[in-house]
Amino acid sequence: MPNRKGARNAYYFFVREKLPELQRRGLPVARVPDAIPFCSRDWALLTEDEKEKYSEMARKWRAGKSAQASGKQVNGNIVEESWKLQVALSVSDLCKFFLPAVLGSIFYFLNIFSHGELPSHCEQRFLPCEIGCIKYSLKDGIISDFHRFIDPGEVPRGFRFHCQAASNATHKIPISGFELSNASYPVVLRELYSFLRLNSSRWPPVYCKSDDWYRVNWCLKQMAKEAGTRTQLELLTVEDLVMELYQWKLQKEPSKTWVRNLLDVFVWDYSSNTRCKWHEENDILFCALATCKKAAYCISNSLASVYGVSLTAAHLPLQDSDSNNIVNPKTVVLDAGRFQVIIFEYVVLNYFRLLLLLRWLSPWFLSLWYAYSFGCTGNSWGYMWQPPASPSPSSHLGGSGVLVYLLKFS
Amino acid sequence: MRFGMMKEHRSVTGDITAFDGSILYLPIRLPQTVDLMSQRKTDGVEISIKIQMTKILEPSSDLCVPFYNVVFRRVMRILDMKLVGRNFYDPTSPIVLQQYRLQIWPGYSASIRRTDGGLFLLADVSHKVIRNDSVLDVMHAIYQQNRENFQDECTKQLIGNILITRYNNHTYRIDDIDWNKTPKDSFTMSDGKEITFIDYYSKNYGITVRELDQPLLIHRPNERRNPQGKLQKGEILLLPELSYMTGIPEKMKKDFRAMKDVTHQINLSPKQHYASLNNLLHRIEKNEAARKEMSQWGLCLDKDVCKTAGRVLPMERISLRHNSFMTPEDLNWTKEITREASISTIPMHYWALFYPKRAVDQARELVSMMEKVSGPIGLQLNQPAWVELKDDRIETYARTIKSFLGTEGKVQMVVCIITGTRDDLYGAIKKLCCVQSPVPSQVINARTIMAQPNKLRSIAQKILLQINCKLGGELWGVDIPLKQLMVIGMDVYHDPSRGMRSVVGFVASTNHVLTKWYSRVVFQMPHQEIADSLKLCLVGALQKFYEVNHCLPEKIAVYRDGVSDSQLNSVVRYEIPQLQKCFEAFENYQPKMVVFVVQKRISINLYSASTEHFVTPTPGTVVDHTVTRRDWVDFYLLAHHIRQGCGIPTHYICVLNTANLSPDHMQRLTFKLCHMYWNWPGTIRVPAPCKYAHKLAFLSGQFLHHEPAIQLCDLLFFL
Repeated sequence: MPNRKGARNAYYFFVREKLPELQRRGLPVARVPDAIPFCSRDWALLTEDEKEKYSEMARKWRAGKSAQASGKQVNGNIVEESWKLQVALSVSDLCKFFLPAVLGSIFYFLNIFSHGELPSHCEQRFLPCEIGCIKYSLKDGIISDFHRFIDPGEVPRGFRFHCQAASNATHKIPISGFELSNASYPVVLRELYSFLRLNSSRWPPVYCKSDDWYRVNWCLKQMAKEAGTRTQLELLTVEDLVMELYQWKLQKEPSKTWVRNLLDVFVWDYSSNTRCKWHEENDILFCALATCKKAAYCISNSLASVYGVSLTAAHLPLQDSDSNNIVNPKTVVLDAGRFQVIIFEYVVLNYFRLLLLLRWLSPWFLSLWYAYSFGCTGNSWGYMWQPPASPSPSSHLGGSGVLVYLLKFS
Repeated sequence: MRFGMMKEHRSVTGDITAFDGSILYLPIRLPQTVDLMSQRKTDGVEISIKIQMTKILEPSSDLCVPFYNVVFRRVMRILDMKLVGRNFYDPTSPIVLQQYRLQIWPGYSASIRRTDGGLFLLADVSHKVIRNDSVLDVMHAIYQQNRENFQDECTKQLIGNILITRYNNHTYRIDDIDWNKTPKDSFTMSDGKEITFIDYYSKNYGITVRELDQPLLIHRPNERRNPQGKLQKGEILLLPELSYMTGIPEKMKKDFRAMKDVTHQINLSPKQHYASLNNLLHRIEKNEAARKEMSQWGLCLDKDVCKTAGRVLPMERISLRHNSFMTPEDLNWTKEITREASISTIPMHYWALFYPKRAVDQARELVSMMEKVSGPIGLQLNQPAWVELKDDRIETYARTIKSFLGTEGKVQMVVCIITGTRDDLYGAIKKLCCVQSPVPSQVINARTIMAQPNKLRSIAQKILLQINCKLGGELWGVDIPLKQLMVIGMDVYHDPSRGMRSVVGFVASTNHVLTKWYSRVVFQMPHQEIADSLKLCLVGALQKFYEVNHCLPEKIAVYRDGVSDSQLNSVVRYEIPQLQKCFEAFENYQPKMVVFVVQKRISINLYSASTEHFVTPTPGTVVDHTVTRRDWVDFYLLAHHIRQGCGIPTHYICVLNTANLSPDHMQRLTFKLCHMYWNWPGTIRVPAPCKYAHKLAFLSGQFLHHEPAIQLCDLLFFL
């Protein structure tokens, strides 16, 4: 069955918002398509700024839709020229295949930094200056990475101070006279494309954090425009990816805050081999490459074990995984003993204590354990995975999450 | 333009008018509506003016206050004072500091207020520092130093600076430099004519531009909407020759002696301050035109500043573990607390000291000194775990601390020695220790240890006391007669960079002697009402109070900082009901509550007139009549000891008082709380919970960008 649902553009959302008002006026409009003729004049009166609101809604919808399963049927169609997007390799599609397919499937994380953001009335909203992209799969971790400094071009007149202040507050890349940023837009874009399509004819989906989505998308489009082409990349958000991965394996939707907390960690802020060379040498935290790698670490840290993947240096910075996971065994036993008193009467004791020890001792055991328990416990396991509202679900806090659950139990 | 057109119709409105651009004030009554025609000078378009009577202002009405301000602004203009920003400055009598190439313009911030005692002119002295160098001079200097990278160097040094154009006294920020334009280029004026910069300045201001080949500075005004709702944008081009730098240059800020000279000029003693205010009154008095302007509206100024009786609160008794003492005259009890045992101390059995290799000597010295001074304080101090870092990169610190905390079990305290003031390193350490793996932490700048070896003892004492607070120890207390009391402090930190996200710091006492504090932080999204999640904080604090005391507090005193006058009502209408709602979470619980709004930035100055000359008032001075507000219960309390400058009191407005505290009790309680800030052995300007909340909000907003870990909530980890 063909996908009858047309794309929703900014105008669609405007009309939808107007719909109740038109109905109140007694016009025979039941659905959005009916109301289209009545709204064109109002639409024309809107300023660019006001229109931007609706475009944003449309963009969000598009992003959300392409990430979602394509099977859902939605009413309220709109007959419009259908946006033919490149067939996206969405995670749900993948999930229809076997587990190895998900494990081996490759995701690209992309981030582009800019010298600040210019106000909405400017034609040029961002000045791309650094790009980072990594190739990642659950099975192999980070496979390869791509990083360039971009020549941002001429700063729009009068905005030099604005841009300089914004850069100094974050990535500290000099706005002019920076010898490393010599690659022009078309060159960078070509290199990025060849990195993405190394040995496949299809365009892979590319992910970035939802906060960065607008900027990265704008920069990609702008770079493509400068190069004289249209970008065919499809940009999705990491948050949705995490949701999908989680949902597929655990048959349960994770909470949005949980996803957000999962990605918003700074455990690996200063890990080696995370930032680009320049940022690492100058000891600056904000680096486009690092943000991509950190997203990958977060996913490895919290989801790889669910999928039963053993973590390697490509998944997490080696040094940090050491310091995180190999805890002095003495304290572990003590901790377990402390909680032993509380939950002594419960039959579940042994079950959880074993889990607890395993959790502390080694993630490898744990992954086996997870793999095993999926077979028998199903849904209750999904609950187990809901961590408490702790600010950083790093791996050793994950352990305490189980403890909190236990306490609740008693 | 509007003012000019109104002036043409003097025949109708009479000679005595006050016009603020949209509202016209007249001492006579016109027939209901008057329609007038005028011609706009710039383009000759006929403009119709309609004057409609909206209201008759009674002299006592509150609406008169803006009108009085209009009149007073005119008086200042008659006196040749120049309006820069909101304050009036006198460019004709600057104080010139030739050796630093600076001049300081004296000025006043003045407005008319209505208080309990009637109408008052509230005036304060203010200063503006202007450099003698024009931007062009600075450019020449840069050129002399560095011919090759002249343009780069200029952009680096100049962009972002604020300058003032002396011909109209406006201030601008330099956003960019246009190297391709010169004053010989022309621009389009508002009426569409093309004119070169040279002609423009000679015609409008009578200035001849000397250097014809200078580049132009670009200022981008903030976009704003004009009355039609259209976005106004554009740029303002300025001549470097005519623009003067303002503010104290960075290089000079590091020069201790120069700064001393400048502050000497700016910080006035009460006597000087009074003299300068008197000078203003005299000038108004002497100037015929100014006096006429006032008197034709029936206004006149008193000949002297307002004198009124205040009270001095009694001194407090500070109690330590074994004995207590009255506060000394200068309200500083450093000696006492470093010689005697604090109320309670936490023995430091296991703590870690991180230091870079090159600061090894300082680390040794510090620890040996800390061991020496720990005895009298009553703190048991073991040797730390010494952790030497190979360099002083952030990465090294972060990684070492993390792995150390990961492998070692119960570290009580992390102490780091860092070299130089480095905000990013400080932020990284604090993030690690407050959010990721919660442990109290202390960061020490190596320079403070090595700069003055003879002061090492007192530095070590201070550090040790601070560490004790962070670990949960109690330093000193004052006698609090109110029993079953909980004191709450709140402050808001506005983050300038992260899209106006604001951080609320919340601190509440959890014991009767007010020495244990519970703290929470809430991050607010932009446009959210002030303190939206107060409920969470207060319920948490009450639960903690119950855990500690096995009862809930009967009275709650809230000190709310960071509220402007216009937001007072939202505090009353929105925040207080939210706080009161929390009580429903507990059964049968209806405590009494007092809420104060604390305002520090006020332009009221207090002098003490007890001697012949005016001097700074004694700490504990309270004024609660005549100058206070009409519609609120409020008072001014000066709690701190003033070393230099004038006595600026803190303004407390009581917006809720269900506890029926008498004003005297409110003032006493507030003054007592000003003694309780443990980072300073003396009184401070605001009550301690306010200061703690401020510290907490600042740390979380500026460095952590996250809520601190909940494990730390009953420690003063943010000191």
